[in-house]
Amino acid sequence: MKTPWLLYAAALAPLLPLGGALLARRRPGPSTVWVLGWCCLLLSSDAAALALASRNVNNHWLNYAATPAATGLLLWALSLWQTTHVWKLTFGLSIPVFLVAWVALLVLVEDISTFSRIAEPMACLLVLAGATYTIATRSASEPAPLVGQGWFWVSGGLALYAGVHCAYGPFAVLVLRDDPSLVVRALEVRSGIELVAFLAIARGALCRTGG
Amino acid sequence: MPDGRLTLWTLFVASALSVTIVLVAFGASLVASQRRRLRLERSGSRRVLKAQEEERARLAHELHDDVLQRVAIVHQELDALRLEADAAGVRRLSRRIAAVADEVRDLGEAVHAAAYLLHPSVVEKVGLRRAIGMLATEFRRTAGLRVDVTVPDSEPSLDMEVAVTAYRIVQEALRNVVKHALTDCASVALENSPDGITVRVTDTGAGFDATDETPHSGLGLLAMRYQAALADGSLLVSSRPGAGTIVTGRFPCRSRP
Repeated sequence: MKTPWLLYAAALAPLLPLGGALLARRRPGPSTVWVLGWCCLLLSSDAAALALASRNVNNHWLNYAATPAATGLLLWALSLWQTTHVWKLTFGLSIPVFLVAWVALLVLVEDISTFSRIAEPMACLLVLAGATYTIATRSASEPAPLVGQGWFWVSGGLALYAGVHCAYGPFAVLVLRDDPSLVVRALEVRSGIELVAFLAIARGALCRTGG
Repeated sequence: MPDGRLTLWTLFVASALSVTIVLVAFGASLVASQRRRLRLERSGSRRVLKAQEEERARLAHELHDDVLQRVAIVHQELDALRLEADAAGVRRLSRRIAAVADEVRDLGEAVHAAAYLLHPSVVEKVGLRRAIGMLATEFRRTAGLRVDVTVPDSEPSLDMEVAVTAYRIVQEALRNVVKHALTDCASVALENSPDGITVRVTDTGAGFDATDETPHSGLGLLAMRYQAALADGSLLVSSRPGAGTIVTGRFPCRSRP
């Protein structure tokens, strides 16, 4: 089956924040640096996944390997944006807890030869909750306009990315056996929303403050 | 597409789209509510600043119309007393009365200077350029600070609120030079441009670490920044220990209503 162009565009979308950071011509804030690291990880894992898929080799294991690292990077980035020490610590501590849960789910529940039913949605829900919490708490005390703040756009982009990923895995598992073409169509929908998410993250990387 | 898969597909698309819509609506509502909050805070702070200026004006009137008049009467009485003491040949007493009269005259001048510095109408009456010049003269007289003033040829066209804010910032910056800079000279420059004005107060004194953002450092500077922001302006402070300080305030020609 021919791979739709939108999937390639989504695989290249992590380049947008990296390009944004380059265009900004200044050192990005500490959180943004970790988010850019996540973009690099995504670029390399997506490239490898596409290469494997084009040779008809199962690439699901790659997702199971990359997701814990990606989630750890994002939680760490979000922890640096927290306004209180307690929440910084909570976000930081959630990383090892998440990793333990991830390994347990992989061993006990998941089948790494297909889409994740529980582990990946759990990781995405964690990032979605963290990003939404960051936006809600920081915006309450932010004295400068929100649209000029890097954290606002990056957290919003991450929430959108994680939100759409939450729904995709379980859906793909349910329809894969009966109608694989529907999985590709769902992947196209996900890719379109991912592009919007990466545009928001790139906008955040361009911001002068709140990185 | 069979019914089961159609339902699943609809569910997936609906959930993906709802996540997007909910997040966008959430972000937009946060931006809107923050704008509302900032607008309210801004108008509240403006009211506080206006009330502060009115209170300063009231105090200045009180000092000028009441205290200063009484000081003048006491001075006149002392002068009369000194003449009487001279006439009676009590020279020691006359000298003491003259010394007290001098003290009272100095007190009168100090009260006059305080009233003058407190009153914002000085900017309204004589314009920002002359008000800054008079401020420099007062600082030289009261604190021994030599202030070089550079002003443009024409009076900048400014909203009165902006002009008073610029004046207060120059006043506070010069006060800081007297208190902290360990120097007896400073300079004030007022620059006019089509977009607005720039006031710059420079000294070559002790300086400080302008990057220090601990809560106790520079509360006065924070207040100046806040005041500048309320007049739609900005304040930049550059300083290093031992390298003096430059306080630059930029203000638009007209402030927003």
